[in-house]
Amino acid sequence: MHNRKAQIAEGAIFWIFYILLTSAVVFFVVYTPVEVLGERTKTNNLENAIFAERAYAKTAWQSPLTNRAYLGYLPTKTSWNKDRVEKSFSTIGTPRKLGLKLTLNHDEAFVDENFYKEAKPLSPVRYPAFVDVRPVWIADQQQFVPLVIDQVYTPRQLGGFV
Amino acid sequence: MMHSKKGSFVGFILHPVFETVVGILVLIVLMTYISGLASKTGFEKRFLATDIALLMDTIPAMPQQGNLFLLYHPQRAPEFGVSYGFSFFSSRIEVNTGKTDLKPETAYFTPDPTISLKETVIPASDVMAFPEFFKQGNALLIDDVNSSRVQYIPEVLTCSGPKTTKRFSLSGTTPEAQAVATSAQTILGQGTEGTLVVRIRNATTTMVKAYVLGYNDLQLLSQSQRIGCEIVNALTTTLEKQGIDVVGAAVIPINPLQTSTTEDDILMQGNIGVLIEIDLPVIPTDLEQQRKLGFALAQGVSNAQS
Repeated sequence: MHNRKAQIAEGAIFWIFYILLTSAVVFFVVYTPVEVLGERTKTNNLENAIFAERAYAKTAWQSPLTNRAYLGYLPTKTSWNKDRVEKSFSTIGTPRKLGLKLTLNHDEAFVDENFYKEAKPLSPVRYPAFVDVRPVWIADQQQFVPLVIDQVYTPRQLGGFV
Repeated sequence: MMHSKKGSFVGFILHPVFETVVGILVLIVLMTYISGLASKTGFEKRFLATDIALLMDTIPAMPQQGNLFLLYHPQRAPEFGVSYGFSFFSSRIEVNTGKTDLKPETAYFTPDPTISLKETVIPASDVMAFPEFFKQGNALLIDDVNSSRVQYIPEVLTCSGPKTTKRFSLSGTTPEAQAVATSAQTILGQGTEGTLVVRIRNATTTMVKAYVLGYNDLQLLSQSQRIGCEIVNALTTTLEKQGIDVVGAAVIPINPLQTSTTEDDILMQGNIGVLIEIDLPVIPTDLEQQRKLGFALAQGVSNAQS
């Protein structure tokens, strides 16, 4: 090219692409080991499975005489201690928000009801969700009824489980 | 395309030089990063923090009445080249390589408010010491595997039910039991809203029991059970700390149709009534031992009062 402006433009375009592509290569070269090693410490949904187990354990009927807990058993469909369920999780002092809704025969119990109702409509896009179903034997109905445990929580990159 | 000879020469030399310099810089950055990874402490700290936080999340999933002793010992532990320290707070754990570690790894867990957790620090030492966990009654205790600050007492019961504001009258069925009751009454002050009776029996094995009446009034029953449970725990802990091995501890509801002895009449009074029965190989006749048991009894009652 004989045009001076064209020469400068050619050089500029070349270096812009060059720097961008080099940056991309450097980024992936550094980012890949971080991701690979990070995979080893990711918990995925393990903690949510643990929370579901905890919530299920708290719905166990407790004998008023012996205080023994009977997991997966209720004498009647309304005899579960919702207060015990609602007070069994605490996220005070953590960056994590966690909301649970337990549904048994159209009867509901919540952990952090405000957060659950705020986050559920936004899940799974804004807040991840995890649903688990456990069987509960209702003695007076002589049948198993599903206990649905629905969790919504803050994603890790926004200060969830670090 | 340049037509200048000088320009061609500059482009021919400078361009590869520049690329070489950039390549070397990238290599240096990458090797420095990989070298940092090779020190392993960052990754190991994160692994330990995450793993132990998951453990803290899991412990409340066990049956409420259960007690637990757990030694945390991850696989390949002998291959940790560095000793780590652990700090447990109410809702998080920090793992560090010592007091000078400026970048400890933190992991959060979700505690159960019904299980109390005391903040504990296990400092990094020459010998790698992993934490051990004791879920004992309503408390979660943590200790260093190389020390024995915590005495695990598996007979401690998990108490539930409402606390009471009532004040009690205490008495004993024998002179020794009466001395224990009087000692406790002195600490607690007089009361008439409920009755606690102490019975001390001679037995080959040490047991601590609280009998309560299986009332139809569930409120009274649960309050009686709470008082009985706290008293049993306080007595069990005191006896264990004295080196007396408590074989069993329980709160036992009594069928009201089956009470017949004079001592059991206290359970029929229509209010909170608890019969505390302590089986000991040696009846405590000295004042010091009676006072210790009395103090434990008073402590148990206080724990159940709001």
